[in-house]
Amino acid sequence: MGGGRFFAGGTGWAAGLLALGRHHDDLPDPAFMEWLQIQLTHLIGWGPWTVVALIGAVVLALPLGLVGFYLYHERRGQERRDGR
Amino acid sequence: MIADRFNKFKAALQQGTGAMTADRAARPGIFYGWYIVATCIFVAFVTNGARNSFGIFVLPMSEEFDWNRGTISAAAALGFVVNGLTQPFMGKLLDRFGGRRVIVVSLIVFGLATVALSLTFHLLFLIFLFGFVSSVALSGMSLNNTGALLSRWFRRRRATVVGLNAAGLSAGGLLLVPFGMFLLQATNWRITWVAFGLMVLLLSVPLAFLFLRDQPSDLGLSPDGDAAAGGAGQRPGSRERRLTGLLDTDSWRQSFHSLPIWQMTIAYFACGYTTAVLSIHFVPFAHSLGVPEQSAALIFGLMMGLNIVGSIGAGILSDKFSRKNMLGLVYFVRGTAYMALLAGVEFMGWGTAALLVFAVVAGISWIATAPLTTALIADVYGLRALGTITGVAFLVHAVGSGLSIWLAGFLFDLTGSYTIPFLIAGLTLFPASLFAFSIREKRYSSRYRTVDSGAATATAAAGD
Repeated sequence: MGGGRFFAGGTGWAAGLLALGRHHDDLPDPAFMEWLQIQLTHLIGWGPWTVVALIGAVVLALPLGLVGFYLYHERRGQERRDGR
Repeated sequence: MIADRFNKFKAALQQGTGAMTADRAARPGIFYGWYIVATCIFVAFVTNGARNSFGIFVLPMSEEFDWNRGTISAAAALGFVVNGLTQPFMGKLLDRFGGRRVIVVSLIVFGLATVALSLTFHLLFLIFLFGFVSSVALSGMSLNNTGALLSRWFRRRRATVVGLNAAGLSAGGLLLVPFGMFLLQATNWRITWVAFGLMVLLLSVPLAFLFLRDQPSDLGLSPDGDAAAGGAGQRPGSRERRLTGLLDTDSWRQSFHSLPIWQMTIAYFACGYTTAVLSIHFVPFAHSLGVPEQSAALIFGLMMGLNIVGSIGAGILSDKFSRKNMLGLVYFVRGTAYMALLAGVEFMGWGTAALLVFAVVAGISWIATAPLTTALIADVYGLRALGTITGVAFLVHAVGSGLSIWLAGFLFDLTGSYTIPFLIAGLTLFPASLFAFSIREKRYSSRYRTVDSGAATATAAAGD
């Protein structure tokens, strides 16, 4: 199979099976990911831990931000009702 | 017996700390459904990011255990098959037991399985955990199921919120795969699996437990935050209440006795067919045109990034205009993009420029079909069997994906070119477009059926 060589080493039937679900569960092309990592490292010039910490902080901020937002609006709503 | 246990579990969840009370939820402010949307986006973001990162583990695990790449890919292959096959069954569970329980339990199983992957010592262990346990769990919180949950919370903005949810999938791949790459570089593959698993268990599970609710009525609310007809807080001047569609059903089998689901599912097959062939063969196709592999990969990455724009944009537009027309348009545009690409390459001799234009157009339409199809199925067949029906549609989509990748590879080997496989892919999209355009949405969709409160006559809300 011509295309299988680009996809995690899968060939033949494996490449076909790997295609299932790729619309929503795409496995990244290893060649692309390797190239991306090199480009990102070159572009930002930071060590791996710095990148991990930054992305980790973003990931952590999403649920915490949602909970904080909810609690803030809860409190405001409570105050509004108490004011009435 | 099982149902009783689930009911007890449900009661325990509803009495859990931080649970919303009807009184709190019903007061004016931000509609609670948006918290459901944000939670589903985060769940999709984390789980899809963790799942898609499998590719970065292939090399280090292969090296440590002396497995070849084809062997380790078998785990991923089994995973995709299991994931596709179990979608209808997990959808059925959602229809029966509610989205909250199915999604929270699935997240716990998925998180534990991901942590346990760090203990991999044998190929069968990896195949069992990733290929089976993790894949079944993933079906429980797939776009199919979260889309069904969100459809219960939103009616007017149904496609918008499912589109936002789908965008969360893409964002997870874009952000968490690089996270995994750098963490793996800094540590090792075992710690990286643990990190992904803990991300699911410590962030997604509590968030889903706290915020997810099966349907608005659990909190005394109505879809979109509207009040029930005649109820307190109803929109000023609003005298409408919604009817169910003519084909509303609680049986997925029953839905397949009518034409619209066939039109949508066959079109969805073409969707799977034309996106999978791109996933696998886009980079080699570009390479065969003389485009450097890195440029091709970058163009492919651009196409994936545009998923987010397309998914959200299509959702918003279809909430304002006819869904089936948007769906037909998406298929038509993608088909035209295929034809333009082939024409540019074969007759004009273009390489990178043709690929770039194609990437933009096709990228926008890449997952735009998912929110449109989910919302349309919900509008036509109602919510009672939505998880199962969309699960079946996703399964057909997956079959299209598998077939396309096999056929494209076969035809490439036969002809030495991607022209015929891409031509077939492009041509399948025009009938798909016709199928979508010909859906009688105005007749069957609950979206177009409203009555004045107190009156019994159904009226169309807007034209096709």
